[in-house]
Amino acid sequence: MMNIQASVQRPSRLATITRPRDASRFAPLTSWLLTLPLVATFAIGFLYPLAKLVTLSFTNGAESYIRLGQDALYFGVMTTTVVTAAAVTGFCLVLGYPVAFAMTRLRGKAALITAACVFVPLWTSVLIRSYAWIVLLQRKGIINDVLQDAGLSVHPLKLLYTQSAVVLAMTHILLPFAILPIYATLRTLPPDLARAAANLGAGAVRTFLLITLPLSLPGVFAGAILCFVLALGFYITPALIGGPGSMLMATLIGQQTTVLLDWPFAAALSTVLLSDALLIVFLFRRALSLSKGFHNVH
Amino acid sequence: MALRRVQKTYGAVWAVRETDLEIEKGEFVSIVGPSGSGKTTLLTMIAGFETPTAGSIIVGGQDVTMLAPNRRNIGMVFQKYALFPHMTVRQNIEFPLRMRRLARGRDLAKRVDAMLDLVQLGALQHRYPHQLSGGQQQRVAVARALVFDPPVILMDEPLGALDKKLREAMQFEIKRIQERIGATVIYVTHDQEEALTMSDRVAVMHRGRLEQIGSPSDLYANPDNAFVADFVGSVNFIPGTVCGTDHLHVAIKVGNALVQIRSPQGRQAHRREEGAAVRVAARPEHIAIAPYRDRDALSLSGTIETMVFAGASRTALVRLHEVPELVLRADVPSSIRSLPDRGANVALSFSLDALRVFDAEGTA
Amino acid sequence: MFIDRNIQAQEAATDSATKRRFRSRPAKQAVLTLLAGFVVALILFFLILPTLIIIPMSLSTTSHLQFPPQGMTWKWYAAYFSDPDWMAATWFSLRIAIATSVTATVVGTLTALAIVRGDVPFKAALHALSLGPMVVPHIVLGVALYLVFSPLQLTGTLTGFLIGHTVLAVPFVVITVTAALQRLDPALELAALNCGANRAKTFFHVTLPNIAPGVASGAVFSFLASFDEATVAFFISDVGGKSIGRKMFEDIDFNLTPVIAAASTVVVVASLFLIGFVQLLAKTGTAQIQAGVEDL
Repeated sequence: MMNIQASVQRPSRLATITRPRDASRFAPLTSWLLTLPLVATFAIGFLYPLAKLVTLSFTNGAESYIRLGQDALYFGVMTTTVVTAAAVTGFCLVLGYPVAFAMTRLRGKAALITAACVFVPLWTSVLIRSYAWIVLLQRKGIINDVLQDAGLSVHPLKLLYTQSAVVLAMTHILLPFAILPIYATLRTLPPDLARAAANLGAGAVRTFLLITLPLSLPGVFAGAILCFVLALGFYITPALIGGPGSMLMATLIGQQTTVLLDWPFAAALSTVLLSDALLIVFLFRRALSLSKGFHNVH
Repeated sequence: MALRRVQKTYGAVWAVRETDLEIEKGEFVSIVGPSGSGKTTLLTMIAGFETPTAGSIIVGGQDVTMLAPNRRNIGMVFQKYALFPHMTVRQNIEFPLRMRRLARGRDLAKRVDAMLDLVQLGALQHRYPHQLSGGQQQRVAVARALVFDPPVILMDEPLGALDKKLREAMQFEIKRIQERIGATVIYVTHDQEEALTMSDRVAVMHRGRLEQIGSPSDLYANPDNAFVADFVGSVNFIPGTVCGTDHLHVAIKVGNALVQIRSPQGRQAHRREEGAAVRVAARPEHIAIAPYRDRDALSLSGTIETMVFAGASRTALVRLHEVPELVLRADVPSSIRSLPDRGANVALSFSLDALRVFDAEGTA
Repeated sequence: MFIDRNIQAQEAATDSATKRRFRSRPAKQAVLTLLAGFVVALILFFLILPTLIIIPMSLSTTSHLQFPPQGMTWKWYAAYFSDPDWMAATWFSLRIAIATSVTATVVGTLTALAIVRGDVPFKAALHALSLGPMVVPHIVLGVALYLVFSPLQLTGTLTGFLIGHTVLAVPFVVITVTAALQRLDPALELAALNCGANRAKTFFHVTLPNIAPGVASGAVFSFLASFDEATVAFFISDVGGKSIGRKMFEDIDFNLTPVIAAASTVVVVASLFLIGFVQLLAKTGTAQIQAGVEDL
């Protein structure tokens, strides 16, 4: 049997990289060339800058990190960041689930309006949406007007530049990121399941709690991780809406770089933020890849 | 064209074991086999989509084994047609001529027109594939494979997506076109009936091995092994033991009964040895049913469990008395009067020439 | 993004099932549905209100939005279009966004091809890398890019923005084109090879026309990703080269006037038109192909 091998023209070493292994794939050489632009762009604009950042954070040894660990102020900021991100994530899920569920049930015009309400904000820049919240929440803003007209408050309330305002605006901005993965999971559930449950005597509420909700948990989980990671690194909204008392990691980095010009310390803060985000994504990468809605997100 | 000792492995898994195949010009050869038998792999190697692990593929005297698919002169009709959805019927058919720079301008238009005529799609030439019915799409696919006059045309289950009526109509259509232009066709299908109707020769594949190749009638009448017998047409296997031989016959003991068959010759000669466990293969149309009282002491007998009307014949399912776990299928011409009823005991007899004997199961 | 027809059909089926159940338990079901509908409507109002509010703001005669509005004026739009600072920022961002859209589309499409049809080891790592900028906090990338660009004097330049924004936009292209390629029947490419087309011709005559909707969406999303981007822009802008994002940020922070609302309205309306156009294009494209697949 072995001597048969000799009868085939064995491809040369060059041919093994220039010829595709089978016709549905590119040759190894072509494939490498295709990845080259990405590797080059990302090396210059992504990997090298991040590496430089991490290196900078260690300019004075681990001094920046020691400062970070010892000063209660910075620990407070980190705690606030995590708590804020968790709160935003929680609100996004609670508000996002009913919308995602409605999207799978609605038809015609109602479906169109719902989709518009989800996608139009998504396609509006974060900056513009943050600005809109300033317009709504400022001392002479609409919400204060309405509250006063309704006699609920005598003086305009200080709504803007508070931690609550930041949570409110971030929830609004990240809400579509929770809705879409949940929607993506919900719409893949066979409608037969809910019907079967109903047929077996479960009421609408029980059908939802026992069948639909558990089966949509992967989407909920994916949405939660997405929201949490994005919320951790949010800069624009807290910078514009948050007050001096509500410092988050991102705004602290902004302050260090633009006001205090302490670059090594800012780099250390950035490194911590970066590793947090990467760690979460790495730990939950399975959940994220589950979300087919990930590509709908933008 | 020819395949010489072609084999293909994926890691440690054999997809196609050493295979030799010669195909004459103008011949219609089908490759049949259950799914996973390697028939499609064989086809993709001929088309050049995959390279054999060993062996060579010759087309028109030229070794094309290592040639890129687009440099081979082989037409192909894909399983789901693979028509280009963004091109009209006409543009689909023009595509190979343009890519191969075989014709341009007037000449190109003429060749495409001729092809549209041949597949009778002239009126639909400006439609897009999704505006056509399944049968029409199939004909576009055939036209696209034929238009550049390739010496060999491959068809990969081209009728798999059509319903039964349309399938049968398209079988004749493909056969008509093939005969008219005298093309060499290699046709892959899992449907043995389709292969038997259309082909000059049929190759049966099983677990990556080419089990037998021959004309449809040869394959049907003289299967080389139990797999081929079973796969081509339907067959009853009756287990038994060789209990006596003479020059011309072998006697096989089935329970208390004896079945006589003609002595196997040549390759199967070893099966004459006394005491060998064998299987007798009998096609349903070679089993005759007679009233129980007419039976002789040694013939097989059974009870009719079901009678199924099937147009020109009836199919009787008979549970053997000798081997109670075995139910045989016998086709009885409908013209015979006084058919026995369900529950009746009957005697079975066989047309001696039509029986074949194979090794017992598990020893193949 | 595109609601596909099967799902619509499925939903229609669920819908009729709910209707049937309606009759069996009318009262309880109706109250539940009404309540749920009200809650969803409230959430949707919350979602859309801030985007809509900028329109009356941009037309309001006072610099604080009043309700009900006291008359309307186009003066903030006039101010936006006549302010050289705003115009410079807008044109600069437009140039960046167009350039980013081109580079990100090319880089992302080639990467998607390598991921789906390529023969390279570490495909999963390549895929992860290409999506990486989506999960790296923008402020971190902004600081990092500033560190690199500042000594090279790339801050405030088209080149600097192009590099930064291409990195941010590539994931969108990779996602949309990968999805389009995975939907494409590989047999089409084999058929093209079989018809005598070489690899390049196969790509341009068969692959590209069929993944065009995905490529187009990727291009539009990368345009918007660049145009709407403010965090990285905040760090790599300088006095000479300022993107519209940075300009807006500064004005919101220091000089809150309805001109911002006018600029925002222009940007939002333009973005929605762009997306609507591409969706329309993509829909006709995918509808054609989908119809073809369904007929098989």
